[in-house]
Amino acid sequence: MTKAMLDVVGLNKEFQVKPKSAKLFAKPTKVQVLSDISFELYEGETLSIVGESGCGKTTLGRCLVKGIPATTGQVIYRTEEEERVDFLKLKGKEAKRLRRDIQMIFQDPYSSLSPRMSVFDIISEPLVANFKLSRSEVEERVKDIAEKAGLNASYLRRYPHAFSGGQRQRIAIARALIMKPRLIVCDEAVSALDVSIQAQIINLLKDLQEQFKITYLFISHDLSIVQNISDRVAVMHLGRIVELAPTKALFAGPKHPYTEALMSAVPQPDPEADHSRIILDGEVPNPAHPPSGCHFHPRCAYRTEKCELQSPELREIADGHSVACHYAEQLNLRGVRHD
Amino acid sequence: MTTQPLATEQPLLSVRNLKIRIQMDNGVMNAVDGVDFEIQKGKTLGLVGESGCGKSLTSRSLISLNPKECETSGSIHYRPSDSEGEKGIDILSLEPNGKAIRSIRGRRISMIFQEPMTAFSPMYTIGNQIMEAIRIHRTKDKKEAKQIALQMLSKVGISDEEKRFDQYPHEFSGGMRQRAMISMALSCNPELLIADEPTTALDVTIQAQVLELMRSLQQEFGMSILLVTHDLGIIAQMCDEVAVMYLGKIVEQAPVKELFRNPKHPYTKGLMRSMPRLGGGKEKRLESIEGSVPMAIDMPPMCSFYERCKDRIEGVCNASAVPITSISEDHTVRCFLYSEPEGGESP
Repeated sequence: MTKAMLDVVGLNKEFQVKPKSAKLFAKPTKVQVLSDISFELYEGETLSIVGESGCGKTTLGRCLVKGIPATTGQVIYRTEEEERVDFLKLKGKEAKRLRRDIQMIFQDPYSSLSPRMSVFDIISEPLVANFKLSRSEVEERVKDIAEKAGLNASYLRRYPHAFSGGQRQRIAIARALIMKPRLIVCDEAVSALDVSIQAQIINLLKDLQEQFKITYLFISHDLSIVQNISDRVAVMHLGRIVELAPTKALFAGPKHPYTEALMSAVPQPDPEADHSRIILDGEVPNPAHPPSGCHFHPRCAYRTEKCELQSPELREIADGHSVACHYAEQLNLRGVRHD
Repeated sequence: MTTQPLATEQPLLSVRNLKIRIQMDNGVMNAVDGVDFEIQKGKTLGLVGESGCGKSLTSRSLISLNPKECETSGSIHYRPSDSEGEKGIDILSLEPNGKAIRSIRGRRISMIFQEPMTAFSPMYTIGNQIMEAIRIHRTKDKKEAKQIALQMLSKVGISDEEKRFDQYPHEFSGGMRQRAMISMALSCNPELLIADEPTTALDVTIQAQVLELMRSLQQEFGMSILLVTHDLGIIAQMCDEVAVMYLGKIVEQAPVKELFRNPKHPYTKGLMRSMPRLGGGKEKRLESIEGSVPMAIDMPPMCSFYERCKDRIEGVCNASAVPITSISEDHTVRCFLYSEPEGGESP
């Protein structure tokens, strides 16, 4: 296996929220959004984070790029010079230097691009902000990247409103690529797109990865996309990673009941397939008042008394396959048939 | 499986040559361009397509909900099941906000929308909004209306309905809101439920719950459903018949099994291939459809998929309007590849 590029150790994030009924000067209560997240991200791989809305996947992505400060924990980044630095502790110039290596692509291409900047300005802004380059150099690099992202170079003077959703997402990709990043965090990067366009963008992301050896952290709620893009998958539930495994192993044999239920809920485009599915009762619990013990136990079909009392640790049960479930070894869960 | 004595009966609703034109600054947009379909009693028709293909406009025109800018022509023939022998009603000929359409809208044909947050008014309680429809169409009595509303809420799986009744939409989660929306739509026992992307805003696990709910309620009430979606997975699970739309036209129409087993139109095939599905892996490259959907402004009479089509025939596909070809009794496709020899050889 290749070396770890990012080593996330015990990441926690708390938000302070005022309850609705609180008095004016009441102290805000704390909501634990991420609890003790630890994983490694290997160089050149795509690690996907999946989960339902409110599970903390977006918060995790933002904490990793220092978009919002984490409460405690470390994000150890291995630079190209093999130095190991804690990205979250860096300040000033050093942080800025590392920021070049880590870029982000957002979900909604309609709000992530400024309507007042031309496409050329949008793509070149990171370059101008970080380097002193002559105008012709900037122009050359922008054109080069735009072409790689599948944009027509003659349209660069236009403004984002003139582009369709898929084209806009290409602009966002070009903007992320221009810094030659080593890691790109894609937060639901293809969720807002139509199916036929989605396939184009997924293929583009894969091609770029091959070409530039980029590492992706791919945040998504859609398991069928995740399976088509990632090397490893981490399943999140209520601020915790409940299962982390190589994609094939995860889909062939999920070990956490939540993963099984998620897979079974994906509608299959085949009218003759077996439509019997596991339907979870209820909804994701409120993270402000998480259930006791295993957070998943109120919705779990296999729960026992132990699950209500004891919170399971994330532990490795097979090579690279970690699960947070007391009964991971005993349960025989249903995966997805491979073609 | 249900038996099919209904097949010979008249369809509940038939749409003929529906056209919706919108005057834009830079020309006329043929948003919906000659759409024909029928909805059978107790069955589900799926309308699939990408954004901008006209599927929402089509579904909204069934209850005259389109904005004034839309110039609508054609006919939408609705045959209420209780009007034996009667010819039925042409919905398009009704006054857009007249009494006649208002007695159908929400009563006999009702609709659930994609975004339940914007579909509910934030100023009134959920109970109040569900009761409104009941009091207009079913009973004037407030107490009785509340009883019906509470029943509906519990039917769609909302527990603690007494408390929920007095809550506002923002106190509900997305899935709950969609359930409340369904209970509102079904509160007057409609014959046809139009569901416009009913689960797009929801998580997969909640989506599975809502789809399951719709299916069981359909069995209970025996209503027909027009399901508008972009997700072929949902279509495969829910529908009896499918119509694939592209740029204002239905390009292929067939029973669901036939369509998935034997897709004919290059667009349908492309859609099916480009859909990431469980069972694939990272090594597998998704096939995509090149280009993007063009604007339907001042379209010349030719195949609208021509630019993106892999199997296009120059001089044929871009020369004239494409006729509808029957592949089998209930499978039709709008493509020159399958038209009769005289159409394929010399245009």
